[in-house]
Amino acid sequence: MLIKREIEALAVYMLLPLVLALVVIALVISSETFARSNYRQLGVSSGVVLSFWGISGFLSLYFAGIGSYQSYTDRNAKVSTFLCTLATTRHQIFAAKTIAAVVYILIVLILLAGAYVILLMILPSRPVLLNPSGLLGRMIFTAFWAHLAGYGLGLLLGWNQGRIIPTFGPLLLSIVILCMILIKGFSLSAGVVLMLAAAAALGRAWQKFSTMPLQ
Amino acid sequence: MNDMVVKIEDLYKYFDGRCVLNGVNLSVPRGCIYGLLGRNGTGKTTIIRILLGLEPATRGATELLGAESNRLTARQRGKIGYVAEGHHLIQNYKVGKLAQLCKNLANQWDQKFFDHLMSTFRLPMDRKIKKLSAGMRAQLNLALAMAINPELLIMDDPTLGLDTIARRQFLELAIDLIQKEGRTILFCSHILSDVERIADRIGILRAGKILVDCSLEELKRRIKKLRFIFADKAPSQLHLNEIINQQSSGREMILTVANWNQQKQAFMETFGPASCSEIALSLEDIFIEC
Repeated sequence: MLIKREIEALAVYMLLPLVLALVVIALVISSETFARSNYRQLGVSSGVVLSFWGISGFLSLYFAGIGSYQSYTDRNAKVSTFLCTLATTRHQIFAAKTIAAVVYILIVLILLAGAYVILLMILPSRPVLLNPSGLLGRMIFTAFWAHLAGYGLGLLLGWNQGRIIPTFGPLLLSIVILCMILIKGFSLSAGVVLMLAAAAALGRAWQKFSTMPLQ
Repeated sequence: MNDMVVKIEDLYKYFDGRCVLNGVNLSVPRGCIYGLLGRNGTGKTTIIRILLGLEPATRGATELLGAESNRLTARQRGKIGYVAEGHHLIQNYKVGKLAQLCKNLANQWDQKFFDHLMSTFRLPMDRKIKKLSAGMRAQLNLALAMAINPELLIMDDPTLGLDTIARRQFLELAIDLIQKEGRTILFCSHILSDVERIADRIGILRAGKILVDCSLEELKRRIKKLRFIFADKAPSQLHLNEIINQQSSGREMILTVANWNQQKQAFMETFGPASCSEIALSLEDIFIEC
């Protein structure tokens, strides 16, 4: 029930990435169709792929913003305070928030991966450039942890008093995450580092939420 | 068997170095309606928040239904109804949606009783919480807390914002609840006539400490307000224990004293008062005197 509540609460904010993912799919299909009819396969495809990566990066920032906004509004609207007085514990509330975020991250990634797969299937030559030995898997793995780390950082910073840290903190820390992806690429090692960052951010957010006064 | 539903031992709470609770000890037995009184800022809400695990204590131990406050399980929480000061529910929810959420999360839910309360209070199910008046939010909060059939009902100034009729309905509901076997209520209120009407035990908080903790009858028996008229001028200083308040004007002296007994009476008689009469005290008078 708590998970359902959190999913409903996040639904409005998830519209943008979902629409974005759908737009990417539409773009991929239409541009590829256009490219095939005009014999300009790689030029258009490369542009699409670049925008594909850009969206992935933007989503890390977006999830950080959502985490921050979620804890900021939670604190101001005293939602968790109310929920804590029902037959729930803080651990359950936090777990529900995290699970809801994971569900949305997975939905968005599945849609993006779907677009990528369609791209591979449509291209007649299926260039190695687009899927060099499991790039798709590594990309999803890295992006998942990047988005979750962004969300965890957002949750953590959103509980701070004032507006500056909840607003700009997640932005700065997400840029650090993105820089790491840019430097290391969508590699397994980058994914593992991001996984550790996500675990640390969520662990600290959980510890803070479990012990802080709920106004 | 430990039959204390609420237990507080040596509780301290500091906010930014300011001591709000200074060694509070309090126990509420099962089946009791306990009224916690105190002026604004004396720490009543803080005690309730610490009891519910919403605020950490600086030092000391608190227990609800035999479990430590900060380790209450979901099941144990489900046995506690809470009506918060200000009634902060989920503002962007509609009444019906909030009721459904509470119902789905509750250990048990008395739908018939909830519907009865909703019709008694005339609360619209399709209106958003933020569109409700303060009084309606208080009634909704109370209905939600009562529908789970709580073993313990904690209320922080529950009648704040309610009109006279709604307050009367609330008091009747509280009495209904207590009549169910083994139910306990802990509440604080500024409306002392309400407390006097339903509480069977009173605690008065002052300067972060429990000044009084006894039954209402005992409190009224222990605290006396006496008017002495002396033949000459009233004595300016009395070396008497447990004087709560003393006012002298000419031949008259008004004395409020705790634990009035024969020794104290004999002591006062040494001053040779011409007359001594008792002034009846309501709970509000006692609260103001204390």
